[in-house]
Amino acid sequence: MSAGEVWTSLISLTLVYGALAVVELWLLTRFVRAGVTTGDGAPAPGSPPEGTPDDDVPGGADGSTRDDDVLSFAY
Amino acid sequence: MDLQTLWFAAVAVLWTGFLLLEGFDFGVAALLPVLGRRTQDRHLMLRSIGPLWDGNEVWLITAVGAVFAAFPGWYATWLPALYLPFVLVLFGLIIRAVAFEWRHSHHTPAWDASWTWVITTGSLIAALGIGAALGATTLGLPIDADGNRLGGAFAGVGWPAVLGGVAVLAFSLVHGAMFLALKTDGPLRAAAGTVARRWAPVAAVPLLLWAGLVHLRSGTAITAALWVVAALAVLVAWARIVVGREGQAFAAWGAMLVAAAATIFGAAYPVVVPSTIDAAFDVTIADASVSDYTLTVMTWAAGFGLPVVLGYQAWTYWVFRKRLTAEPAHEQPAEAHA
Repeated sequence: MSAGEVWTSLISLTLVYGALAVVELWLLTRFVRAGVTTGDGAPAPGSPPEGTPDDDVPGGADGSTRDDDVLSFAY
Repeated sequence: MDLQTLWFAAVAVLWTGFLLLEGFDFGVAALLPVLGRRTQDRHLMLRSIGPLWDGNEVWLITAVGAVFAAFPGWYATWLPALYLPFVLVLFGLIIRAVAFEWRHSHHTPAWDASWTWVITTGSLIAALGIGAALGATTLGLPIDADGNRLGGAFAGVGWPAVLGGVAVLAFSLVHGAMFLALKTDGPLRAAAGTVARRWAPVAAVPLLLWAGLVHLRSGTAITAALWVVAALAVLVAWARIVVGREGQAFAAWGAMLVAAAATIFGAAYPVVVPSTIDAAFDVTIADASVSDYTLTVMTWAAGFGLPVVLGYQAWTYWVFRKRLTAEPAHEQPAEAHA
């Protein structure tokens, strides 16, 4: 194994994770800005905001407000 | 049976379990551009593997972890020889994992299409790359007497790696199609059945060729019998999918993989990395293993841990056992969480 291989992996892993971090931060900012209540949704206490990226939500409380037919938890 | 042999068998079982489980989610993801052109079909395909893919992927971690723990000499020869190809596989697995999580976090057609494409691409890279790595470690790598790779960064990617990659991808595509035929209903079920029917006999060829080559190099009467079982299982799988018995076809196709993997690992034993330079440089389990004491500790730990892991994974499959349809999914969670 050469030093070049190690540099290639270090640099490319940094770039890939860096790019993913940008997308993640963008998504996080979006969800934070959207707030806990989003207008007419009137979510039940303790339920997640609409479009929550959390896929472990029991019962998928936001399913009915989606424009697609997929629950977030069910992909 | 000595502990080295036991752990070689354990590693073989972990790789086989990984291919058996992750194979169908790789296949479903790779078939998205073929079977998932309509939005509802695409969502159905992703829902079919959504609760299962990451549990399946844990088998990869345990397989590589067991190689590292029981046979560090195998790990240290195999992974550095294919260092950059393995990095590429990691990228495939990384982008695929985030794509599953992010695809439903924002709702525009371009976002959806992009992450769907990433899921497919990441799965193709991972299936090809992991198959290539397994092909190389059972058919040969250009290693010298010290287990170091001769040649450039991609010198490990010779014909054995190409054969292994194609074999795992082809197996996964049909495995995924059979899984969709078994797991979904409606037009998607029929379309997936057609893909499986059309491609099953062809898709088995590279895997049977790979198993046959390892057998010819160092097989026994037992591995010959296992190879015949694998070949017969292909015929059974094909015959059952033709008459629409999706469950039996999926089981037979899975049995084909198990028999083929048993042929490959059974014939390769006790060599874990054959050298394409000189057979005297082959790395065997005796060269690669940790001490007997370490293997004893690992055996006890695995003896207690493994049943628990197998139990809860079986339970997740039981929970998500129902056939999926393109109906609105609003009632599904009640069943899923029951």
